[in-house]
Amino acid sequence: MTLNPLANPKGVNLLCELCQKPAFIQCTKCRVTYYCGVEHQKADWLGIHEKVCQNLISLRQNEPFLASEEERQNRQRLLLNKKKAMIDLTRTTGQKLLFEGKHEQAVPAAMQSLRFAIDVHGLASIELVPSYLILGEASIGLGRLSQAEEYLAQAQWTVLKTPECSNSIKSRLYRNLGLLHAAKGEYDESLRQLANDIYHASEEFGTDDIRTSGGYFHMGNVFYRQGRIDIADSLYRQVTDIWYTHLYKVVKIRTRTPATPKGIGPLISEMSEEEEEGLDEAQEAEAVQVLNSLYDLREHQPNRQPQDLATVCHALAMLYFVLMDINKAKEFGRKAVVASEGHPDDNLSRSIVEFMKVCDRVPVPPKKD
Amino acid sequence: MAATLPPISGGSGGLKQGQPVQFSPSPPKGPPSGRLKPLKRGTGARDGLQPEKPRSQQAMLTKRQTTAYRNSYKHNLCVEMLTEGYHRSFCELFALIHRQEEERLSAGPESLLWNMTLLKDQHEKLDMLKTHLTRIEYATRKGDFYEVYKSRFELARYFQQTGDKWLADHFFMTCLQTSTNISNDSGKTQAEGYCNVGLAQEENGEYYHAMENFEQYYKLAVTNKDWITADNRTFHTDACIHLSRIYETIGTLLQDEEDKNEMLEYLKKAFDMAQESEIHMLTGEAAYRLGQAYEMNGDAETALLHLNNYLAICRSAEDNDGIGKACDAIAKALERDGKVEKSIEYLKQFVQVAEKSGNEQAYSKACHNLGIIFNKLGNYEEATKSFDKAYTLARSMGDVASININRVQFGIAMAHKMQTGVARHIVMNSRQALERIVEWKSSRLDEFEKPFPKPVKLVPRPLTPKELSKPNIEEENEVPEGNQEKVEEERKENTFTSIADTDTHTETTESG
Repeated sequence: MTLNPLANPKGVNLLCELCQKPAFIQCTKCRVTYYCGVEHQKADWLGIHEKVCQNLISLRQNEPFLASEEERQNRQRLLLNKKKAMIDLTRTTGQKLLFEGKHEQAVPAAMQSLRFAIDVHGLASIELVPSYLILGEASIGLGRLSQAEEYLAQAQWTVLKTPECSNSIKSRLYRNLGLLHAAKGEYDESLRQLANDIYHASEEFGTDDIRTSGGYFHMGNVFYRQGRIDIADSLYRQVTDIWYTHLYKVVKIRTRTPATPKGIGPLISEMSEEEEEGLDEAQEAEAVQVLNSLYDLREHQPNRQPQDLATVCHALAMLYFVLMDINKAKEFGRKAVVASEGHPDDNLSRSIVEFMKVCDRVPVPPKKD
Repeated sequence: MAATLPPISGGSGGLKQGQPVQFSPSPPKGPPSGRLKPLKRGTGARDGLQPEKPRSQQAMLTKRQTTAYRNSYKHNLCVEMLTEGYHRSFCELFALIHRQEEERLSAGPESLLWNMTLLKDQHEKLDMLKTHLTRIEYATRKGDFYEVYKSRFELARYFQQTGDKWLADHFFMTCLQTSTNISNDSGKTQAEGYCNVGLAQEENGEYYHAMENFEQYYKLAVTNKDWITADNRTFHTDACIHLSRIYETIGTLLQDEEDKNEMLEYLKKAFDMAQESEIHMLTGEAAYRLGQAYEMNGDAETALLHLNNYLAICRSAEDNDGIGKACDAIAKALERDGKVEKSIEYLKQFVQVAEKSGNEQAYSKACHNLGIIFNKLGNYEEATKSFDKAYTLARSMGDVASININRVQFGIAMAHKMQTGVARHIVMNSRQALERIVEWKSSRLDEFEKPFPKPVKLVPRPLTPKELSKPNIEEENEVPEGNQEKVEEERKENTFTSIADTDTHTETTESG
């Protein structure tokens, strides 16, 4: 990619996409995005720009001359829809990057989403809160706690001023506040915030939903750090169970379809993939993160309960199966078999064995991809 | 794109996000004057900063206090539980509250449920739930399942007292689940759990489920006869009692079914269980019911066997009511079997017992039954006597239904009794007889049994206006023999109505 230093026309102040300082280079693909330097362009490209580059063109073009009012309104409506779609896209991307632990990269995405949201909904709208929350979480991840606090305070204020604000937003707000306090080391306050998170999430989704499980997981972490291992253990177990049941359901739906035509199994399952409700990108990333850390924890735990490890392994295996990473799925499946050996929980070991059979039936697909 | 956003790698914390006011220009106040106003930025803010006295004197509220004020009681309770780490308790409580709300919604605003106070608004109960659930979770974590069981049981009892049946049921059910984890008492708590769940289901009308649970209970109890309940019975006896009762209930439920065998099967099981419990009264009752079922089914012999059993048990327990009931049932069975003499014997016994025990209701019933049998046999003399007794008893008790029945029966019996006399008089076709009938018509006195006076010379007396008004009866009375039956029928009708008349008449006079 070549970078063009810019000669600014008079009266036009081109600002950097990320830091709002005077810009010197332009993205050559869309020609509507400017940066103060290569560093910021690179960060933006990795974070979000790659995905939205082409979309930005139509959004940032000057308004063409349109003769009739109707046409102008039409264009406005189209733009609005596009922007809304962009908000969704950027947010999911940001969330996913967060779960993958790439906090640095999540910031541009969050910024972009915030910018669109302000554009569409105005400054004091509740719609901005999710973007603030992503920014806040990214800042926590980057260790910029005061900045995170600012973002979150802004989000909280907006939420407080909007009494009809939905529970899912509240839940995410409190989750981030909880994380913030945990990062600061204020564990009691953190627990209160996370408790609020779980409460609101339960109101919205039920106590045993994967969207509630995040709260339990963070809470478990806090208890773990406080040294109250038994409580943390119980919380981790619940998180594992929630993911386990959810993935079990997903796998069951997926394996049911290709049961009849055995030969072309993966093809069918790929086709049916779009139809069923599974996991969105952010949820997939969350599952990978949560379950892997749980697995690490269980593996190194000296006095673990035998079926805990087996459940985590099985859940992970199913997760990788859902993500079409059959090799890894098999690997964890084998671990689950080993872990469940010699323990009395028949149901679990039976379902693991069953799952392994399903895995064997599916020929390894990655070579095809 | 006007919003200033913080630089991504700027270490200094970036620009402030929290000032949206900066970007939204306030609408112009007043008409534009053409001159720019002097800027007064910040003064407003400074005014706001001036501390309000009363508030500053108050102590600052902590975050906990503000949330307690802002959020619902349920919210605060849940958050408190969660911060203490009792997440399973939270799940359970939350699920319970949710379940109630859902049931209420599905029942709709027309139902009783709609106006009931929801669990989430009953703070005392929520507190109770919280303390016990957290205790339960703590005990679970330690692996002390007996403690868990005890707490759950306590909760169940508490909600039984407060009348929250569904909650009590829930906790009894979980009690049973917990009890499967308790391994060191060879299933005693499990047995208790089965029993409690069975009782709860029985109350809900789920008799078959209750039966299954009671059977489990029995299975556990029968192998451990040394277990003793709180009221000093062995588990075994207790199980037998419950099982016997539930079988009986199911049996009576099946009464209306086409196939009577199933009903008999259940009642027989109930009887066996009652026998096993070695409680005589219970055995007797079961035998009685079984006997009645057999009787209903037309198997009088077997019925008699069981009923006699019951009678014997009642005799040995000197239970007069029971003896009465037994005699009554036996009499009925005998009657159906065609042994009327014996039946009457038993009924007389019933009357005696009832008289002795002073139970007026039973006495009245006994007399009534006896009357019916006499009536059937054509022994109207005895029948009227019995019904008379039954009727007076019923009246003294003031039992309206019984009064009405006995009144009618009494009337019928009297009518039957009188019928022969009337018929005879009609057939006689003599003036004297005719006169007597006319007499009876006006005064309703039963004098048909009296012998006719020796043929004295009858002085023809002038007809009263009343007699004049009914000449057709006299004419009819003189119909030839061929039409006699028809006349008799008409007579019968007359007697019925007339007796009813007399009855009401007597009642009014007596009550007056």
